[in-house]
Amino acid sequence: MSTIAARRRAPSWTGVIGATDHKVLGRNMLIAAFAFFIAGGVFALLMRLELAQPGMQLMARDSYDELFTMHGSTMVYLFVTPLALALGVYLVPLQIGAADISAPRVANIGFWLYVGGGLTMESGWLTDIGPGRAGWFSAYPLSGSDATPGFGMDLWVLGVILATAGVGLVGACLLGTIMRRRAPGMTMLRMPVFTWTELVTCLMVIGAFPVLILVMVLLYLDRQGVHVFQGFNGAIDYQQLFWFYGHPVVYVMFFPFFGAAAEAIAVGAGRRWFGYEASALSLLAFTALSMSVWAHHMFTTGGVHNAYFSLTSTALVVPAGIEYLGMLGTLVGGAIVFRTSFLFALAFFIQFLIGGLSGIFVASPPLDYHAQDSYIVVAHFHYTLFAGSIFGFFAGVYHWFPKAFGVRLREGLGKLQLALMVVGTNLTFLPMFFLGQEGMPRRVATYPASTGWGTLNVLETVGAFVIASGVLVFVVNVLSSLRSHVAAGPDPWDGHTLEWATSSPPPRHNFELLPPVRSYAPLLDLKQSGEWPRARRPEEALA
Amino acid sequence: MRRAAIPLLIYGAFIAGNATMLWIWGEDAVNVGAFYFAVIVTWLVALGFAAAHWKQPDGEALRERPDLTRRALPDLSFGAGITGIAIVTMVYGARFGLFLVWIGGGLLLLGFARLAAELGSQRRDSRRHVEEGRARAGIDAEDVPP
Repeated sequence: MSTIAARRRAPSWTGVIGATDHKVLGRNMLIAAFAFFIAGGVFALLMRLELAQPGMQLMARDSYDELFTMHGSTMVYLFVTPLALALGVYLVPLQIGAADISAPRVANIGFWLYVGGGLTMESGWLTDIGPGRAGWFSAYPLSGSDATPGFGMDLWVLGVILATAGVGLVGACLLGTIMRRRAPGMTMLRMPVFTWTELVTCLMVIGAFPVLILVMVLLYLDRQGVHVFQGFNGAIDYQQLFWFYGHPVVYVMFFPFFGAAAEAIAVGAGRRWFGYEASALSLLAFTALSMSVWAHHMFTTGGVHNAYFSLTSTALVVPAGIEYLGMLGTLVGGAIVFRTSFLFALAFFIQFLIGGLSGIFVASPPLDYHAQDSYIVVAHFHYTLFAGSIFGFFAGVYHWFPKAFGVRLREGLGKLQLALMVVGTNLTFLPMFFLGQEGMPRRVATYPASTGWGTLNVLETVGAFVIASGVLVFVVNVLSSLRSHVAAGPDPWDGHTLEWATSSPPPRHNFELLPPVRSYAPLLDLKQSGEWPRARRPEEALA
Repeated sequence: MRRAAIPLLIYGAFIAGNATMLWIWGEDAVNVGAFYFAVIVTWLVALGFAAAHWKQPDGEALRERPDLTRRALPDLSFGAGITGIAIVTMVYGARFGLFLVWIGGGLLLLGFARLAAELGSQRRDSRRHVEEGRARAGIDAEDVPP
């Protein structure tokens, strides 16, 4: 027998503008990020339609440049990075037993800077020459005022500054929350895996994001005629500074989703995360190494020490291997329930593995010279950034949706979405490896028919639309589940961590009473000792 | 609480080691400078957290006496929202037109004034809640049978 969930009140505009509750802030950020995801996804579909056949069909070459620039920029600056922190804003206070986020007003200001930055960047579409078109990293001198004149490119630079500053402020608030708002007993080595991943993410945010803001301010000044990067080594200096942000942000877009997938795996397997302390320590090493590899994006410039950056890049496999070992160790001997969140988490680990392994390949300078600026790189970073974030994100959504909204998402639709996304992802990105190997360069709007690349490009276009249909299924699932009003209860999955000890959705200040914290899975401890009622899993109830 | 800074110090030491290795390897100043910037920021944050001796009012008070922990933080802060929107308006105005900078500047003043009023009110509320809590705790203590 199911219970009826209380009807949710529609959020008021005042609540959107001035929210101080971390749950409202997190939800607002998630909605904004998802809206930008839809925009970035439409840009991708338009690009894929253009590339489906040789020759120019739909748009001019300049328009294609604008599309790939805005697709990358929207996805990196406005979707995945804010999304990674938005999950933390919502969940971290709940996981560590805090009533609020630290400095909620600053977090609110950060939210508005992020949204305002996004709108500033996208408003370039309304200008006469169009938005930024120098790529998402806008390498200099291509991004200079001579090569890319126009108001739209200036708006792109200002948008990046605002959005990065906003997300940086939110990250700083999250770091403060983790450091000073933990419940009694919640020591650093008792924090859930997801909170650990948010902690290391925030460390990268405070170290790397100010550098991007600096380089974008300098680029803006350069475009206004101050000649910052026009000296002898200016183009290389721009890249050094940009990639000092540009590579850590790859891990900002990965760690929280790894954390979400890890929680879904542990709860799905009914076991504690295997090798928790080693995992936490390896996360710190992983983060430190990922701050030390940025110039592998510049192997072919001749302006960096390739040996050092190749060494640090290859060393990343060690902490990554420890995390994968943790995942496998958790699964072995577990009482696995194959629900959607678990399957998405499993898909996350498998799909990201393709991105990770191809990363070892391009971490070697001689091989990178071969792959540079080809579709191999496009395939690699889409497996890393798309598969390494989206699958983890959806694992988290299916896992925590009942906590946030009080109702479960439909499992059938969830599994259909997963199938579509797995098929679509591999249909879109796997052929890119073959195209790159055959010599197709990235950032081209067309290619000669004689190359024979048409078939694989058609497959990729079909794959992109399959991914889009998966996203559509998710939207339908959310809308239909929210209308169902079937209450999920406080602990529908028999969870391990503190967020499952409060009602769904949680009250304004999260907890009426906190259970004691004795490990990183405090609720599981209590359940095992019989001090807390063990939730009947829906599957058990059906049986 | 001070021990919470240890992971940050470990992480800072790790990137400091990597930065030093890069420096010895002979990289250029921009590269090494950016790297040490991250090291210094991390260590300053770690030391800041270690030195602050912040209490943990939320969890502790909630577990022991949830009835005494009425919160002074308002659910809404227009000051914060207006300040954020004002900054965006000013930055956009830097390229679009000076009038937006002026409008944004006005909004920013309004936002700061509102924030100051909110913070003052929150501080007064917070003090009153603590006093009320203490008073109630005193009464409760007398009610406890010997």
